[in-house]
Amino acid sequence: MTFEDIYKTYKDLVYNLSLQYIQNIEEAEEITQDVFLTVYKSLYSFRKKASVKTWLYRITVNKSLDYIKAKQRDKRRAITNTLSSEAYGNHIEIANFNHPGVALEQKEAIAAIFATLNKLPDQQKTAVILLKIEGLSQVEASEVMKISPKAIESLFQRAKKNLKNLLHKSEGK
Amino acid sequence: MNKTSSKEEMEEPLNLFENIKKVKAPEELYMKIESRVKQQHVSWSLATAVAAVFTCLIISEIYLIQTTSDANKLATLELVLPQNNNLLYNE
Repeated sequence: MTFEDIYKTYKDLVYNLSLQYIQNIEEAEEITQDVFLTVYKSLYSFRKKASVKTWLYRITVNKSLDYIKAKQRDKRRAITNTLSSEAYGNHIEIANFNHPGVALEQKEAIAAIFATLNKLPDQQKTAVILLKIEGLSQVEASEVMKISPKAIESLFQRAKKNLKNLLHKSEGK
Repeated sequence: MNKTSSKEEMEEPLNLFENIKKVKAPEELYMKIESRVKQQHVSWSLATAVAAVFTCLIISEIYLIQTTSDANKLATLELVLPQNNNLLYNE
């Protein structure tokens, strides 16, 4: 499979998956570019132990999480003088929520759930995104995350529990 | 019963995620990726050229040191060894 074939087949998958992580068009485009640049560089060393689709899922998940971490670092550095990092929290505020796949009438509700989802640990967030938004099966998601299907199920259950608690807390405020 | 309702309660907001529609990647994205690939090629070629020039310089430097060191050895020895002008030694 050539680079062009891979791009044509999976560009929408990569773009949509990065949108689920970052919820912003421009940043999702940037992540998509990074993903395909990595694909271009490592296409010849790809050993085909996993399918191309699983490989692309993995790269996109990693690139998205790296992007979020870098963004958090920059923001923390910028506010170090005014706020403590504890007060800032461990998540990205979605002030710039811009997800083209969300209908206008549901934008507020979905943005609120995404804001809560973004507070979860990386593994739990990825489990929710792969299972609930991307619609992967437990086996497919476990291949992407390189863990057992049982572990995926447990991550998903913990994510649901944490989401519930966080949503209750935010409602109580 | 209570457990089920609590589960449904949580599933409901998560079910909202199912309403997210898949969108098409922008058309101009491929051009952007292509230009970044080309940029990488240029920087890679530049790095290779710089490395090649640097290697050549080091090799020529080593060669020069080796060829001139033999000629210099005698001159250096003459400088280091004490000169003896005592004529009595020649008797």
